[in-house]
Amino acid sequence: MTALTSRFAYLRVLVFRELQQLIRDPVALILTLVAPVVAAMIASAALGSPPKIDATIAVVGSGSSLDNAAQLAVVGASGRDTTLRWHVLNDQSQARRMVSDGMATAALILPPAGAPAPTPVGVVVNRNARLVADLATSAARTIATRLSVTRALRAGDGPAGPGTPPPIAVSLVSPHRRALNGAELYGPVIAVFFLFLASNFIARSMRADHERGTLARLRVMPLGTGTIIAGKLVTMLVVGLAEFATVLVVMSLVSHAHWGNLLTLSAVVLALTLAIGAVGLVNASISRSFEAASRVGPLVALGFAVLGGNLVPLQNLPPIARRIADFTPNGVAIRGMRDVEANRAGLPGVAGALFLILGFTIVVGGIGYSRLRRRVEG
Amino acid sequence: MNLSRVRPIAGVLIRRTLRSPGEIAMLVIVPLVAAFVFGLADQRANDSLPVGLVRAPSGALAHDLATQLRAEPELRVRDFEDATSMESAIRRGDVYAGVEIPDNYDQLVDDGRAPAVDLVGDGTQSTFVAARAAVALVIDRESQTIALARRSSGERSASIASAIPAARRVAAATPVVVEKHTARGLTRETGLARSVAGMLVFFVFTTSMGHAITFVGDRRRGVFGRMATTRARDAEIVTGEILGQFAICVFQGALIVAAGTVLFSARWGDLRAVGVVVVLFATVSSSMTVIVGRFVDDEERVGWVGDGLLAVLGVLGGCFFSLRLVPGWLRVVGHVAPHAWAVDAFERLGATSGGIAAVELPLLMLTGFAVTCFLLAVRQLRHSLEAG
Repeated sequence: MTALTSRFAYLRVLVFRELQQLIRDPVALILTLVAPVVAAMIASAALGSPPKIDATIAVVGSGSSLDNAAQLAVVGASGRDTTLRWHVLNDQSQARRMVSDGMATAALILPPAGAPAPTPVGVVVNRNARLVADLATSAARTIATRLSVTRALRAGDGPAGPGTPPPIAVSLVSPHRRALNGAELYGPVIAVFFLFLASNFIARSMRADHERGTLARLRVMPLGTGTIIAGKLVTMLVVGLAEFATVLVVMSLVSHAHWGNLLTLSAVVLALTLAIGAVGLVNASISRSFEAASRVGPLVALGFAVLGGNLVPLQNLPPIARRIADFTPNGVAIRGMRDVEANRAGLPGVAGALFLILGFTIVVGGIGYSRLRRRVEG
Repeated sequence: MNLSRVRPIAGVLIRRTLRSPGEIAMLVIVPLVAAFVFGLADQRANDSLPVGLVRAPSGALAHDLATQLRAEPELRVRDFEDATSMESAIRRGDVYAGVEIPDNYDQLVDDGRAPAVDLVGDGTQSTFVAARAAVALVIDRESQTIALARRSSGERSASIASAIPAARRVAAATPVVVEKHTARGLTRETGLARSVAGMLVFFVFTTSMGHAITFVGDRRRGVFGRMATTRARDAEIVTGEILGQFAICVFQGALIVAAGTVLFSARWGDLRAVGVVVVLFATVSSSMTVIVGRFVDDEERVGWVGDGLLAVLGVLGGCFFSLRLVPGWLRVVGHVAPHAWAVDAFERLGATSGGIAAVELPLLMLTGFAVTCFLLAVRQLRHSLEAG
């Protein structure tokens, strides 16, 4: 048996032993495989349909101003998820009470018929519902514009008159393929977060072997420090890939998620798992105790999750956050995965992402491996 | 009970924690940084809608329309080079809708024809419906202005573009007056305040799970066995151990409340009620340290268990996003976690002017969790002492 063959044989034994210990521990198994699925389903349900805009807007007015409001109601009302409902009232104080009591998110108080110009258009808003407040304010500005223009054109029932098309038409266009649903958006995202948590296995396992004396016994065998470290890394990769695959399979079955080209997706997932393994090596090299590992692991997971847009949708952060995410392996990978899912990207489409992730892996993994090796060899 | 024996036991963990820079960072700095990022994203998600805009063609009128869209506070406009990249972004979920102004927009308006502005998006999504409403309102205003400009330019035989400034002044003649109210009923508190509350709950629990590893290590090294041989009674040792954990959790909670108020102007409501919530959740967390540490045999497994509990209870309990966003059944399931009751209490206190009476149910549930976990922790700790 050549030296390389025997090292592979030892590596197989080490990995098999670690996996055996994991499989025999029901708690660890549940937390490795079940917890990510549960978290992914919750995150998909919560973050996958933001924001639920479900608002009642009270309208007080009469005559032509009410006609204008009625026309605007068409803008908001449609379909199952009706965004804005209009509730017509006669009394301003009743409208204000509805907003104060939370029964309406906003109220429009329109000038009564025959009111002299320029009688203002009033809008009463709930300061805690800013989006609907701004929409209602925009609706008020549009009604105010219509009233002003109507007066200026001296037309009786609206500036454009019946049958006259508006100067600007709005054409609704569907995208050629549907947008990603919550499961497709956030399933992989949560799986990546748990992958970072799983990478802490390397630090904890190395520490446990050191405390039990297992590491010292392994070192007297013809294994080589590299093989010992590789054993931990490969175990983490196997666990991480199993975790990721479980999330994707369950989300497919339960939430009807479609993942696009599976070969391309697998390439991205494998590259990302290697990158996160590299981060795990660095964590292990700086964690000199279980307590340190317990602090560093979640901290690194949360840090990368935030920087890479895992737990925080990047579109809701300032533009600089998107640029920062482009330097994180998880940020690049998530974008690549979404291109595979939504835009049917193949391997050529994600080649750039794969190159960046593997570059990160080589640099960070190299640093982590050399530091960890020095620590193990004392 | 001799407090002079309880204090040194409690003091060991407190001193160990406060001497470690990493622990200090995890106690306050990391939660606040996380709260800032989550809060900012949460606020922007609920205050405005990301919308794409293909780079407007040259032309004063097209430029005006694009400017009007960018000025809308409920829209967060992101520019794209072309319709293909914008559509890819819509499908990826980067933006909820996309707007494309035709290349010949100015020409069509000048000729008296109606240019068609494309609004791209998935009509089945409620976010697209909201974005469509916002865009349609802007286009309606611009439409009115152009109609007026056409009329006056026709009268003066001038170009429409030259009549636009005067038309805008006329169109803006009717003022809009905005009144802001704070609803008495509960409305969802978003943004930094809610995020700080969520991160307080998550990181107090994180601290406790970290200490569970220390607890297991102490048990393995025989620290409890040696404590049992001293003159300190079991009750004093148990009290000291749990008191140390509890003190750190309360200290962390209080620091985050204070820092959240100073740095983020977080509104917490009735501070007495907030204090009660912090104390009750600290009791739950510190008890969980002992429970997890007692049921798990070694530090490596505690790591798995701790990380798993952290992540699942944090997500389930609404630490990262409000449970109001999830379906009703999931909201109910989420409330098996004490985290959910703590976050509910903070949300309710911050969004209304109520005190302890406004959060009776969450406090009752937290008290139930605290009493149960505490009694279980005491029992488990006694077993540890007896086992040595």
